Amino acid sequence: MATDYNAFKMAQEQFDKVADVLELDEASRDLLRNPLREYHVSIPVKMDDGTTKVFRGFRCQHNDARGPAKGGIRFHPMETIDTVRALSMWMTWKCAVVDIPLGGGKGGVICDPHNLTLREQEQICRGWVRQLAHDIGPLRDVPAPDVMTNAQHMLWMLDEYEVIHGAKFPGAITGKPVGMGGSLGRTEATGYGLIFTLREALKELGIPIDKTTAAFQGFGNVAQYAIRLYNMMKGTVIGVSCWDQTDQTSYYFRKDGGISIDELMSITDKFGGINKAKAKELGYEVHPGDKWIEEEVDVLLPCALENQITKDSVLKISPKVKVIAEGANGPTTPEADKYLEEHNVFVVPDFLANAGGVTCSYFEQVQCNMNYFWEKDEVLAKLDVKMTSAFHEVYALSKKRSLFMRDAAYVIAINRVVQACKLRGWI
Amino acid sequence: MDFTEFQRREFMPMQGLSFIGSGELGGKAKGLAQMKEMLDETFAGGEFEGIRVDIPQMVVIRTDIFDKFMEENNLYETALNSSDDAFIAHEFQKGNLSVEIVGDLMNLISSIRKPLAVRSTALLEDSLHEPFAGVYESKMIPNRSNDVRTRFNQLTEAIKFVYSTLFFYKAKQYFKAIRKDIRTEKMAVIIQEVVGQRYDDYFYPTIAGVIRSLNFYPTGNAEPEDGVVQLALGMGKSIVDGGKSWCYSPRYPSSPPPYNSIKDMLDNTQTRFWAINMGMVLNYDPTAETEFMVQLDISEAEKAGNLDQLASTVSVDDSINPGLSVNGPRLLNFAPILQYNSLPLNELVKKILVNAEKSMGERVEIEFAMRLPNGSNSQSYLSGAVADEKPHFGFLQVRPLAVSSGIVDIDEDSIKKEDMLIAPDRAMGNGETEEIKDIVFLKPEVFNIANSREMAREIDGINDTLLNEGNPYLLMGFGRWGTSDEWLGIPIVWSQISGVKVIVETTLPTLNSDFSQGSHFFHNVFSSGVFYFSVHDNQESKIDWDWLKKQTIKNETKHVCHVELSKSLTVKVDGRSGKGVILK
Repeated sequence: MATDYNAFKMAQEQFDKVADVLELDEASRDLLRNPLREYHVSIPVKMDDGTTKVFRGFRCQHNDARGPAKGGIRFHPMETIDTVRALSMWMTWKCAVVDIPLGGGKGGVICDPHNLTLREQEQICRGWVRQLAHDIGPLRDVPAPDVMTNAQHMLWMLDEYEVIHGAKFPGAITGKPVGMGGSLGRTEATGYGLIFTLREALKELGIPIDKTTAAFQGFGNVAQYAIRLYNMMKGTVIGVSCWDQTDQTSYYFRKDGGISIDELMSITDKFGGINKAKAKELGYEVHPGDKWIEEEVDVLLPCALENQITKDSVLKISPKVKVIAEGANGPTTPEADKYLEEHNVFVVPDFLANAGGVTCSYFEQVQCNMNYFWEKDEVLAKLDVKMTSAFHEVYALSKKRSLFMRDAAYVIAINRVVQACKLRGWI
Repeated sequence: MDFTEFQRREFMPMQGLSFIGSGELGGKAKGLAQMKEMLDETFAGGEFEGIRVDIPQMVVIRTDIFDKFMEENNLYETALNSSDDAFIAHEFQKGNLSVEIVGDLMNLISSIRKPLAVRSTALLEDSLHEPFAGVYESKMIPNRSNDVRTRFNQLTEAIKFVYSTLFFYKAKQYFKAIRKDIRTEKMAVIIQEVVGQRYDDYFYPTIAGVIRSLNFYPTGNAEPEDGVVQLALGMGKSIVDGGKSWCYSPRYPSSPPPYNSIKDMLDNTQTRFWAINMGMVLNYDPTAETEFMVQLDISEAEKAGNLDQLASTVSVDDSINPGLSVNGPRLLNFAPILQYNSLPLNELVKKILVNAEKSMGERVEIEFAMRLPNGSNSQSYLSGAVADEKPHFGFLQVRPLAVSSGIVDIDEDSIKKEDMLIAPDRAMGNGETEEIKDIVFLKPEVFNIANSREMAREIDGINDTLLNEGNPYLLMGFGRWGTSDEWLGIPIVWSQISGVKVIVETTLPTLNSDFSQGSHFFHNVFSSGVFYFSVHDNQESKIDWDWLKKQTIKNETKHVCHVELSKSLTVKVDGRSGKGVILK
């Protein structure tokens, strides 16, 4: 990973580029280049060994002109406020591009859950909410699971929030377990949404999905469900890369005839790492983790971390690759984008491609607010329709104004947010 | 092949025949694709003398989606092991449809606000060339709610319901009877616009009809090859369920069925009809076929102005007056159309029959629905839209009629009387069999028509046993088989006798009702290659009861006896002459 990478700087550069296209006035630029609000909190936690440790946490509300802020909360040892700022800005664009009535937010705590007991994690969750209880909520800012947080963490947070406010607010936090205010289909939503947009992209390019091959970076929740749906549509996944917690590096697992998701899942540990020895026994080739980008496939799906397709790594991409569908947030740098645009690689940009998660979170909030929960068929049907129509709006604009897909998506999203701010009389 | 892949953005409005998924289309859908070609060739501009003729727009959900539904929801175990239809239907409702298609369905239902029919189109219907009439259930949905979620849920519930009917008791019995493993069957589903018009809270076609190119019950001058047409007011369910309808030969459209009297005719005329309920549905039950259907009195149709071309009136002097100009009971004999040709329906029917047979290369059965623009109170379901003023003939289904083509000669002179078990007055079907060693008959000495329902249940049990053993059998009883009036015969349904190969209906001095005539139930019997004999067992003995009573009793209930023979019977029917014989 390049050490000079700054996600927030990149997000601002992307915004500036589109602001020029839209010829935005200075006030709009000033307002949208930075978060509306950001909170820095300290969370003291009594550890299991009797010591007390103080964890640093953040919450950024980038913009809430279109509705309550919405975004995940990440637990990561390398978390920075700039990453959280960038991600909150991307959430604003993401909610706007799929046209859901929410703004953008993001939160994080600098910690490594791998080294924390469940009780300690619960204390961090509750501590974070205690600090922010009056600045979040169903009508202000709605957190959700993100990197290394899950439904259990969300339920602890919701419980603390409800204790503080003395009432039930199931819509205050999304990503809760099904049966405890969670929505059916939420687990699958991001991965499925990614493939819905890929399906539409391939249709527009005239490439039958059942004739395509793909390589994935990442083997977490998003990639796993994306692989399942891609396989259902008869696409062949040649390889996946994943993080190995023991070796603290990533590996790329490939098979010429295509991987089997069920086979790999059966040899995957709780952190999502695939057992190398068993994989070899099953006939998989094991390569260094960055090898995925060199695979001769039709589609590349980065579904792990930001900053993976850079000005250097982009040169390794095979000329066979027709589409990149970004499951992760910010996997491609602006320099790499330029190269992809010049080489006619069709990119389904991150904040469109992976918007399935937040779209389903929105459905969860709606269901919680009416306290009536939908069937899974209905949730996924609405998700498909929402993602598909968002894709086509972006695609139509990119064709009409000869814009790169990412730029077209930004134009739509930023324009919507600017309009909301103007209508409210903010600018 | 006229089917194109369903395109979301091009589906407004629904265009022609399309599909979702990548498996098989199923027999019914394939048949319709063939008929689309035939209709395009036969009717230039999709019209016949001012009548719009087409296949209503439809989408087929192909069989791979059924496979995924069954596998992803682990439904095979429940479906195969449970014998409770309601339980199976509920378990299927809990399942999720494949994520691949739910978006398409949401798009489809968002872009259409007309009532929809959800029907099966099964794989084996095509590969086995079996008619499968009435084996699986269909479902009609009103699709009228302003809330797209409600409409979407109605559609997905209907699809799951139709899937579940593959494993209903009736279907399982059918599979036993045709000796096929039900697990080899796969179901595709047709979602089709319903032909008709809305009248207040009800939606229905003016006419529903079934056309068969071979008449198993020819009367008067009609020949079997002339075919037969059944017409009814409202949804086709009236005919499919064997309800009251008007039956005529397309060669002699003005000849009435052979009723004994005007009273008899009025007793057998249609008085109620099925419609889709567009109003409030009080009982939510996705597992019921008729959840959104309602049965109405024909006076509702008269109020809506829909009887003008369908009915005659019987006046006080027992004369039949076409139309509604006089007071009196209404007789749905379609006289204005069939006798006075107010609409060239019969010409259209004949043309379709000839061309459909030619296209399929065999005898066919066709279902259709017609909307006539004469409803004075009709209103469009879309506010402000003007109803199409042209009559619309919607071709809904085509299926092969299973008929043995072998020629059977029966030389009555060479048959010794002592060799005959039964000498019938009339036989129907065509062919010969020597595979019957089991006879199930109602015991004449204890027969009492008051117990007819009990008898039906007893026969059902014996049928189960014989089906499990794989033994086809001869069934003999008194009065009308399959009657809905328990005082005229045995009110049995097809699934209760599904293993039967030969049916004999006979008389007793205490029960001398007329034999049954060509209901849909009997069509199923004939389509399955069952031979049907009618015997007026009055003065001269035409049934050798003494011999029968000497045979080994295998099973006996209060009213029914099952004997097993040491040697197979020989059963012959000459379909051309209507003669038949059963030899010991």
